[in-house]
Amino acid sequence: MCGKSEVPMKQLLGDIPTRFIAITILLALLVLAFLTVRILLVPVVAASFVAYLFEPGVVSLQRRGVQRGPAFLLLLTTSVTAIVVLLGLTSSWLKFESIERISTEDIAVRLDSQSGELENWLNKRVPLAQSIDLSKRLAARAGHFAETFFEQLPSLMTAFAVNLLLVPFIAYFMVRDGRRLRRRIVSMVPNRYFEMTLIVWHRIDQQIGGYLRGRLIECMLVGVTQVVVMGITSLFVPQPQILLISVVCGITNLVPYVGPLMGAGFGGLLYLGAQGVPMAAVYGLIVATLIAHLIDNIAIAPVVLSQNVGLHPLTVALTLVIGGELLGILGLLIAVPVASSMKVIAQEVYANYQLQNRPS
Amino acid sequence: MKPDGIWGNIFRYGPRKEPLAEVLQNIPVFQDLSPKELRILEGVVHLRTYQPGETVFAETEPGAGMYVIRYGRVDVVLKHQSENELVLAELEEGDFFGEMALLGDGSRSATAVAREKSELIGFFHPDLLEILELHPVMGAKITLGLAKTLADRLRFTNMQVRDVWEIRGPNEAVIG
Repeated sequence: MCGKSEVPMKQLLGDIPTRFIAITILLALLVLAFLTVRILLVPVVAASFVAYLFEPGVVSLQRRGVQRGPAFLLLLTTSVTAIVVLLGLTSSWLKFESIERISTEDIAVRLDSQSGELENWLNKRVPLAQSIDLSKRLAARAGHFAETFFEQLPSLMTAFAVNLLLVPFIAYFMVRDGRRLRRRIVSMVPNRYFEMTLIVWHRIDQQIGGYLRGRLIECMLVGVTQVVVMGITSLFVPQPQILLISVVCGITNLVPYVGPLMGAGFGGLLYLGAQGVPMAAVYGLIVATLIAHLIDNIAIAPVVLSQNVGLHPLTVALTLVIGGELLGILGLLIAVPVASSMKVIAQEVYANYQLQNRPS
Repeated sequence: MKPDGIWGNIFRYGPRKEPLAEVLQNIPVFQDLSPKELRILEGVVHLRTYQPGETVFAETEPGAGMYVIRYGRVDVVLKHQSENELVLAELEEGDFFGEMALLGDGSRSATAVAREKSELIGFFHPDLLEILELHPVMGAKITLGLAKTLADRLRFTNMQVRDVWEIRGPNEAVIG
């Protein structure tokens, strides 16, 4: 279009159009800005999870002539109502008010005594272990972690409450305008890269959509399993706050491998710090979590996760380390979808390269 | 169709653009669609503008779908920019090309180059899947239209092979 001014730029950059570079830089700046304003990341990522989860239902209603926005609102309202009714029916059984006060000192003291017993048992059998001084180290670390965690708990709860309102709001617009926005973005891609962008976007959408929906359904089922198993355990040992712990276990299950440990860790700390909750409750919780995890691995995951992202376990582990290091818990949650998207892009670029360099 | 005379110059600045639905209705792939379905299709397709000499897609590249020429001209060539370049077809307003890629994975068998400034309507594999998901009846009509078009092309190719067979004999026809 402006031939004279483009000549030196073209000499400098070869075949790469300047518009493509401008868009790449703009996208990079956007990602950077997004990473800087982390406060936006949590609700946006959570909203995209919700949007993906509701997508099949929205499409089903859309086929019956309902617009995407109202379809999402209808499904959301139905789901929330169903959850509230279910909670109302099971509130007495789920023991909402079982824990009255949590003290971080209690956690340190009880952990110290428990790990002390464990250390004595270990020292009798492995004399070398005496030099490790397990109980003091463990108690100090856990005490410090619990102190930080419970100090931050009020602000975490506030953020959770804000997100509870913000997430459906963002998800609504993602569902309503997502496809239009995608078309607008794709329309800005230069002709040379247009078809490839369209294919890559479609594949990522299919793969991530399938994976996330599978994981989210799996997490919900794990949460329900945890409720049931803890409910059965509560017949033998006290298991307060079944619902809270099960919800946390369900959410943390989104993180591959370490998720169940994180959920059980949260419940364990809650029980250790709660007044009047015996140590048997912690052991009961560990057994219940193990059983729920086993049921997940044997019965839930193989059925629900038919759409696998096809990443090697080592790649998943490394991705989780990087995600956790960069963005904390949020990084752990989005690490696998992001890695999977990068894999799709790499596969497409490589396939494109191979086709173009194929001997004719 | 270029405007002529002073009024044409005053009231019409660019090339004449047919309404999208009108262009699409004349394409065999979409000819069974109702006016309502054509309006839905209008919202799904992509409009792309190409400068003279710009490549629409290149031979061996992975293809995503078909293009309809809204205005302008496009050449379909083999071995583009080589000594053995062969122009397979010179397409103009209302013509369409690349429909085989609508069916899924596969590489382009020729290169398409805009001969003059052209506006193309792109309809791609993900768009077809979206229509099949949201409007199954409309998707079935498009798929059937596509099958008919490909069958016509295959029938035409068969006739050409038979002509070559009859002229050159079976051995030469296969080798040549």
